[in-house]
Amino acid sequence: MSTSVPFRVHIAASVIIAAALPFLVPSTVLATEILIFGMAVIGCNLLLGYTGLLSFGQALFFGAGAYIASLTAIHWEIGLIPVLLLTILAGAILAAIVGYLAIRRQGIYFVMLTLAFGQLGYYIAFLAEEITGGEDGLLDVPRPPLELPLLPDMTFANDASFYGLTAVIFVLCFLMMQRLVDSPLGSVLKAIRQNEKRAEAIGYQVRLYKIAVFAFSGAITALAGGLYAMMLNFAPLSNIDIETSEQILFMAVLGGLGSLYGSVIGAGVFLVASDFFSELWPRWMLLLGLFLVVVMMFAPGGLWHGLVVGFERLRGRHKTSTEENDHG
Amino acid sequence: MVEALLDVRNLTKRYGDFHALNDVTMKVEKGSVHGVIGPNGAGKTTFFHCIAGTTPSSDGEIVFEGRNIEGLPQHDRPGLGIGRSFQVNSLFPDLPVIENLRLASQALEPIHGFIFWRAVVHKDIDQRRAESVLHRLGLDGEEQTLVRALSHGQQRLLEVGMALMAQPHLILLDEPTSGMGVDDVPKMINLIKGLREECTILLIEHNIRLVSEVCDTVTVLQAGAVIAQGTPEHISQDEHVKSAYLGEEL
Repeated sequence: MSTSVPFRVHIAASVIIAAALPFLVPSTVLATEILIFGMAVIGCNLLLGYTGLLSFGQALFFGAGAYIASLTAIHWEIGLIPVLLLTILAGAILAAIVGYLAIRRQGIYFVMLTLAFGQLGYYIAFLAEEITGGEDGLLDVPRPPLELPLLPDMTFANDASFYGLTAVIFVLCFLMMQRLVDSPLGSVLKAIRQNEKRAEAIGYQVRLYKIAVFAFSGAITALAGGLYAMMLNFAPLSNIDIETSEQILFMAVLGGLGSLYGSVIGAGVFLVASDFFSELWPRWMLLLGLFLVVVMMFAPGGLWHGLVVGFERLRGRHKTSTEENDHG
Repeated sequence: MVEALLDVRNLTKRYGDFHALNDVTMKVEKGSVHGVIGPNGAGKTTFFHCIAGTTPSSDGEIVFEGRNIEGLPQHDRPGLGIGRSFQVNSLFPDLPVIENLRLASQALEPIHGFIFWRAVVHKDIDQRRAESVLHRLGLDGEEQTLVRALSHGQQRLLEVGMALMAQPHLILLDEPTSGMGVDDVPKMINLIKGLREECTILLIEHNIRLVSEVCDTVTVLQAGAVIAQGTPEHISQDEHVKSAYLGEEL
């Protein structure tokens, strides 16, 4: 409580990330992708890093978000905000239902249930060709205009303007989720991860908290999926497949669990590395795999944790060297 | 007659054909320190689990403050005034001491735990209560220490503190001195003695010194059944008890 970082630091940090990213990576589209996946990874981190729930079904929420946002944007002319709010709401409800059913089992059985729900979602999307486009996906997904009172309508036709939109949404989401993990609810989630038995024994109805965190995770992951479809102007079937779940999980672990900055770094490093290796060699996945193995071996707690430890070590050395100078 | 705070009637717990508890009946008087002893496997911890709601009982009644709480889920019982500590330290190791205590008191207001839109603030914990609990545990100044950095003995004390934070009417202590060094045991004895002004205590213990020093009443369990009940002096003279339990040690 008293050791937590002031909120204004998080505000500054997230704004700086969003503002600097396009200048740090090769393209605006890649920067957009990083922020979008950063949000999806934060959703995964809420479950795994904060509550200790390993979900292999995150693509279900990501893919569902992509379809909901695409379908509402294609068929209804209701503007951007209602489309995104519907996407968030649908993601939260879907995840609450999946969570409600999956948490009835513990440990490995819970993990298998999330995987099963993910696969179920995939086959439904695959078979419901009339709605989802099946294997072809949904084509020509528009980017609805933003209609705000007193302001002219905004459109996001080019990459830079869409990045701006994504960046604003990212900052808002990041700050809300940072608030959540520092809140009384967040404290209960951490307690559940560390000792579920005791949390229940001191009076928390653990099941309700798990359903709640699923809903939050589903909401932000679906929002990310929706934005991704708008970015591509296309909602491919691959959004909802197991590989997307794996990628989101991998980014979460790579960046470091239990820190939202870790999630953003995980998404960033994974996507930049993919982009870099894919230009080197057609079999780039092999290089990416090798790179990730090396990172995990030298920073087993994730990149964020590695950075924090490295920084503290540097500061410690700096301190001792100045002390030595003082003595000298 | 003194009012019974906890009235257990014919409590039975079966695992298949095995009776872990068989027709256990006992009354815990308000304001007393009540010990439950018995050889390993006598059903002491199962008895606690049933009262705390950790495991459902198969049969019988658990009447707490005049209300039958049998079948009530575990997470609802702390709110009624039943707190418990665990035989093996069961804390939140990567959180500071004060945060462990805060979580224990926050649990009494279930709605509070769903606040997600603002950070945890200073007023979320009853500072005076927390300070008095820490003082009793002898953990003054350790508010921000991570629980994993505390000694085993300090963690044992914090186990009791977690239950205490919720201002229980009845506190269940499952072998409070288990694994404690000889030097630390007196601290626990003093803590328990100090608690009796505030709440009723039901404890499981192997440490005979502690039992005879702090308990008013002792119930002896063997093979899931009550074989004797009375004052510590009375119990130490009981032939059944000698053969069943103390006999091994004397």
